[in-house]
Amino acid sequence: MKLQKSLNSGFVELIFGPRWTYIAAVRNFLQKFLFVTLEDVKSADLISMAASELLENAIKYASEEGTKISVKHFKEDDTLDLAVENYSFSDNIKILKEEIEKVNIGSPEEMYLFKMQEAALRTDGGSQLGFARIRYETCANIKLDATSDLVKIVVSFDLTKIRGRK
Amino acid sequence: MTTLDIKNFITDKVKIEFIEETIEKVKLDFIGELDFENPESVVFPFFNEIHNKVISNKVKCVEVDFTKLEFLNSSGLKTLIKWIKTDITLPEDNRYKFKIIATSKIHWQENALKVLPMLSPLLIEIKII
Repeated sequence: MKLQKSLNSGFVELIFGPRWTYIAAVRNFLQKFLFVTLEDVKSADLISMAASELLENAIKYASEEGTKISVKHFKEDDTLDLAVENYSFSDNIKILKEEIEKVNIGSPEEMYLFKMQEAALRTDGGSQLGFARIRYETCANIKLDATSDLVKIVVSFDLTKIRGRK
Repeated sequence: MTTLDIKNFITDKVKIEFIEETIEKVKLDFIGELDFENPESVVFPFFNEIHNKVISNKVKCVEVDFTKLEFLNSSGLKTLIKWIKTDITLPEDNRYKFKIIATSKIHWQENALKVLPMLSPLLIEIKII
């Protein structure tokens, strides 16, 4: 195994479950890790919130065990990528793809409000509010890559925008 | 009215506690992390019970204080929106106001909650401290 040392960037990768009971533990670990890496509590709080929402989706839509979450900080660009990978059924991948396309259409505030209204009418236990919330709260870009039944959702954060947002 | 006669909602991760119960206002403190997998079956019945008692007792305002709530997942947020929507869709005379207290010290709160008044600007007020 080759261990690569990166002194300029923070990097973490976790493979687990997925089980619901791990989510809070991963969220709290990431918050602390990101606070050390980024030296900014607001970014650490909001990115760990986003991680939590993605992991909830991974559990809801997973077809089998195993979820990988990774965080990579690009210090020079002041950006950070958060990625969650898991196996899913093709129907579920289609739902995720459509949801991401939908929330990326309008302004983050409009879509968040629209998804809030829509969520209130849902009776299936889900909210489908997570992607809109992430985009609205963090101004992040969300994209999905799928290869066969392996789905990867990458959220890219501009940390300057998070820190500057009122 | 002295009490709604509803027990506080307490689990190992979250506590929703009645702080004040008068005809003018019912105040609830949210403490901990609200991140249930399916809050609709766990928390919504509690919100619905409050809603029904608030209407029958003609309470004018429900104040929800989130300043001690460390985390709220989007499913939990949906449950809160559903409660608010239940109020909004009542006949005008039966509606009660929502006052939301949030803190800028817990970073998800300000952004996630500040759009809630847009659901019904006359009924929902938010104060960020």
